[in-house]
Amino acid sequence: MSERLLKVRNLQIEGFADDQWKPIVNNIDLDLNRGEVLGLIGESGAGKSTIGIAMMGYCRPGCRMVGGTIDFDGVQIQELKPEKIREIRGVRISYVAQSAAASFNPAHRLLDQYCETPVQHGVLKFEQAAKEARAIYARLELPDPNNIGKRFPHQVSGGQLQRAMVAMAMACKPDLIVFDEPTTALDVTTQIEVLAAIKDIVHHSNTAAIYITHDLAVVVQLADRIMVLRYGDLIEEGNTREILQEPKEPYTKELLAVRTYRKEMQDAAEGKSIIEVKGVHASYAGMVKVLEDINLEVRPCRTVAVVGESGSGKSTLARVITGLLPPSEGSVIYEGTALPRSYKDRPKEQLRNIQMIYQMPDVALNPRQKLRDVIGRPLGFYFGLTGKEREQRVKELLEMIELPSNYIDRFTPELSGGQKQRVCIARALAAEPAVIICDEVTSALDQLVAEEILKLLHRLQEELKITYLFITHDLATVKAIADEIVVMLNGRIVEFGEKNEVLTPPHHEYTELLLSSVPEMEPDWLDEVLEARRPVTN
Amino acid sequence: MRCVRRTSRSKFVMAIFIVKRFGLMLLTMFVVSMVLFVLLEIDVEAVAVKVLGPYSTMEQRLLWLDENGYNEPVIVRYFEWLGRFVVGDFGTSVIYKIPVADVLWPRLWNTTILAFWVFVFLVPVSLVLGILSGMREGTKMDRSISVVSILTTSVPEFASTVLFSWIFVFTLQWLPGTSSMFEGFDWTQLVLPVLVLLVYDFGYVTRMTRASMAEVMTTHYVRTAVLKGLPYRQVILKHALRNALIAPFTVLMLQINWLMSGVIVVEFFYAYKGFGALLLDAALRQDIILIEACTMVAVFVVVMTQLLSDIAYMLLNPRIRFA
Repeated sequence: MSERLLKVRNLQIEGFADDQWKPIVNNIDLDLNRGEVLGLIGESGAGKSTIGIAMMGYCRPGCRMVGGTIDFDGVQIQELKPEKIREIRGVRISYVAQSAAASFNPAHRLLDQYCETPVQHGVLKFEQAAKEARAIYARLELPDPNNIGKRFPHQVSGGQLQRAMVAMAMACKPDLIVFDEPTTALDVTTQIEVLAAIKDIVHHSNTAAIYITHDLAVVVQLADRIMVLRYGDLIEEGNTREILQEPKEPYTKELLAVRTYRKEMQDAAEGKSIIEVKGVHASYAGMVKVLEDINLEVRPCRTVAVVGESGSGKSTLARVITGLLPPSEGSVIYEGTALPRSYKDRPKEQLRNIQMIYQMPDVALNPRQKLRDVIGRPLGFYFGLTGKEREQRVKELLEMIELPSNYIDRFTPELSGGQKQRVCIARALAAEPAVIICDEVTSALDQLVAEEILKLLHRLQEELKITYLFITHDLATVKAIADEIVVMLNGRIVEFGEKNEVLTPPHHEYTELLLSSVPEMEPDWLDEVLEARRPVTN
Repeated sequence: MRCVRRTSRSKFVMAIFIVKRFGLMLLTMFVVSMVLFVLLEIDVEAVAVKVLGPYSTMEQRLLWLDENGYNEPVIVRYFEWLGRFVVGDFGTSVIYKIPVADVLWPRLWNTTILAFWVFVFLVPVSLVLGILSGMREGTKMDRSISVVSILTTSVPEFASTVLFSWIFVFTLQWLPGTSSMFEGFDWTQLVLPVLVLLVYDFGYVTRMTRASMAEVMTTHYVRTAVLKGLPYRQVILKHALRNALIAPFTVLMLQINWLMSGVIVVEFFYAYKGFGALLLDAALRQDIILIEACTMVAVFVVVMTQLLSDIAYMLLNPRIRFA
């Protein structure tokens, strides 16, 4: 049973950056038995994906393996010629990528892409492979398993596609599957389905797996053993339950403590609302209805979290409030006066008062601008500040977001992801707004970094009395920072209230589903949730 | 059952799409005709001068204008003019003194022959080179192909016509130096014009194909194909190629427009009796009747290729087909 399948010694991989080769994986040893699931966990840049695909003898372009041995069932992977490696890839080791949407070829049907591997490797004939595909589709609870294979990738949902990818990896009944963040791009309610599918299939077929993720709560559901990585080094390795109970290294402890941050609750503030959304309906191109009858009140200095899955209309709500998308019906009221529907018709003062921060700081900042210009522009635009005065104010703002004031002459690409998001916050603050709409501001960040951003936002709220409308799909974020919660589903508000009210039962049915789908750092959580849901689903 | 409904629906969507595009095409031609009319036919006196020449008397001009219905209101004139165009009556050429149709259609046919042969070589050469170059970016092969295609594209046609004539006509004496085809069709006369156009154009399409291919090679689905252990050939042919061809296809369709109406230098140099040379002739000698006809035909060619490329684009890309 505990036969050794994979034995990696001294794995060293380098990446080419800034005109030189730099180590990205340092002397990693890794062992894996048949049927065992190993979790690789770490933040971005930890080298975990690089290690994962190295098991298949593959390095990303711009990377190279410089040392070490990969012994897979007696075969030295690093010594194999390309055609020999080909015989292992897809057949004995297969790969499930993070974004199934990007990893399926858009021009071919799902079934063709499934059957390609076994047919090409001469394992099965097309008809046999197709038959097995339907069985696996059914096992993974894909809808209409007999016909779903005839669809193109863009015709199925994200969660279904990810399960189709798991199915595809199973096609040749491999000994080892490398799962590279397979649920990161999914909503929590979808994530749970995919996790269940993976767990089921791995146990059912006694396949060994390497499960790569940045989310400890996810990996503990599946992994027997966990390796914690940081900057290409191994920090800690051990049995899942042991690591959860007794982490030895400080970094592991930090990872475990993530998502426990809570801002202290404020008393439910009564009084006038600062923003009121009244009977708003909105649609894109007059065709697809995305918001239906939205009514919402936000009171000053509060954080209202808007929660929902992708497609629930939460970002559209932000676009309506800021005037980027004029509503087809209803109105947005700011401090008692109705705002013009389009931002084009709003006076500068109204524009200044509602600012926005976006999900992707990389895309939201002009890479050719220095922080001086990024933060200085709203100062010039709204307050007419120039020269020394403006520079002074930019420095103050940098201080406020906890960046050194000599960063003023840095270009935005010289900053890390978290620093970039701080700059986006400073840019919004520069306008001295009353309300900031935060659209998934922590989703693209590593968890530890995200938590720092949340703390910063909270501190700024205390100091500057800002109101936040916090759009997110992540309930951990909501728990950390919200005063009130709005739960959205299919363009409607299904629940709205104080955080404690919404989070304590009885919930609305959908809120319950959302809440119970957030993974907890508890190895039995997935089994328990699935067990609890079984009678309902059947 | 579900599947059947899906395909019939997608056919319906496709039909709607084509009808819409067709409508748009007619609209484009209508707008161009209006612009053309405003530019060339509003100032009636200028028309008379152009047709009768600068030495005609005012009396002659007025008489001509009256005879040809130029004293009617502008709107009436426009629709009469448009109506004649629709039925293919382009009027009489001022410089050739014969119906425009008699000179335009043979010229267009000659240009079509030229464009056809250029295309026959252009498509395979540029696609194959672009794919070879883009599939392994940065290799020796990629760099050689890139250098050659940049070099050939950056030599303008008027320079390469001279160069090729010097090599093949004067030095080697293999080919005739003019392509007027006075004594009937002669393929040897076609070689040089085709060669010049091909050399000038293939580099451009190759570069476009290369860029598209190189981009596709970095996509996750190509990596998936590699990690499935597929042979390199299949990764390229089945996974990369189909998606990489979408961009070059659009570029190739644009080349048709250029080949049909923009090859003035080559046609002129080799005295080839083509459409581009006719257009130049008409413009230089201010034959407004001929200019109008040539313009409308050129616009027709453009909108037709656009329509074709939109349809083919939809077939290449299932995401558009089923959207």
